Amino acid sequence: MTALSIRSVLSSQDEREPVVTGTIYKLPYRLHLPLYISEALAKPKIRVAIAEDHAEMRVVLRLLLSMSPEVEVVCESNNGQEAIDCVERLQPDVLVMDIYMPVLDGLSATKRVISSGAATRVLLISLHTGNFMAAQAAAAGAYGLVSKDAVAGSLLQAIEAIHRGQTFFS
Amino acid sequence: MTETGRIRILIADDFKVLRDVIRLYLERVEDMEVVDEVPDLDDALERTRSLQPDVIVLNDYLPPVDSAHAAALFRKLEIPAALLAISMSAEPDLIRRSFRHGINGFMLKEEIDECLVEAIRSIHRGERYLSPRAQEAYDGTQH
Repeated sequence: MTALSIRSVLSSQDEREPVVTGTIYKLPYRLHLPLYISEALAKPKIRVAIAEDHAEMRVVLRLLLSMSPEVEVVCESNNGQEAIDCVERLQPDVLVMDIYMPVLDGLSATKRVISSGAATRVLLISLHTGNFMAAQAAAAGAYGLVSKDAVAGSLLQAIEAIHRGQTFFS
Repeated sequence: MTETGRIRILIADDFKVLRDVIRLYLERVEDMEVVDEVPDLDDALERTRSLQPDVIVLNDYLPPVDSAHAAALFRKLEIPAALLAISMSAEPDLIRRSFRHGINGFMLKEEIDECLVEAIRSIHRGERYLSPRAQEAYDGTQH
């Protein structure tokens, strides 16, 4: 019975099922993992929150993040205060936040996230970047700053870098 | 269509970051190819003449005109490309006028992830396309 079940696993032709290979007592083995096991073993997604008051820019960010299988958008907000509420409620891994927003701006909101002790890392975005703004962002406690003009090429890269604990100032 | 069978697409929108991301998004679709992206009507007309795209994805406001005026102009110039308008707000009057003047499809930018590929394929086949939320907004004014 055991021999039969092993043979059936080895003969699986479903390409979606990942293959595990190795050796046991110098004998090579090759196993196709069932999908439910591979999904359980898969790397957890990076949980991202978005804070941006410009509706069309939110569309851009959401669309961009939807292209990455490693990222999951857990929350969207229109201002810094809503972003803080989101961080308290959902503890995202990364908060992508505009600097210029009504009610509470991105720099002030970053300081509040840091002082709350949340593990969420902040990536700021702005139309205006450069050395001065990067220094402001870093002083507030942000892990990175990306120009809005460059999000298509840099945002996912920045999120992954920040999630690994690195800083990203473009 | 190219010899490879891909649908050739021109993106026309005054918001550059959105053009960039739509381009990235469509480049991942096997049967589609973005031939260029432009910010306004003049550039759209010029690139349409030189590149002859199958489909033009255009903002509902393509400076200096809205999608209804743009469609009227494209049709007057006998440009055969299928036209898909994308919009932040499903304004029923603009939807109605755009279709009347030659737009083939209308959808919301909020729906790009769910609907853009289907919309492009649909209008490229010669069908009319109205996205679910644009349809909802349009129906809401007909009662």
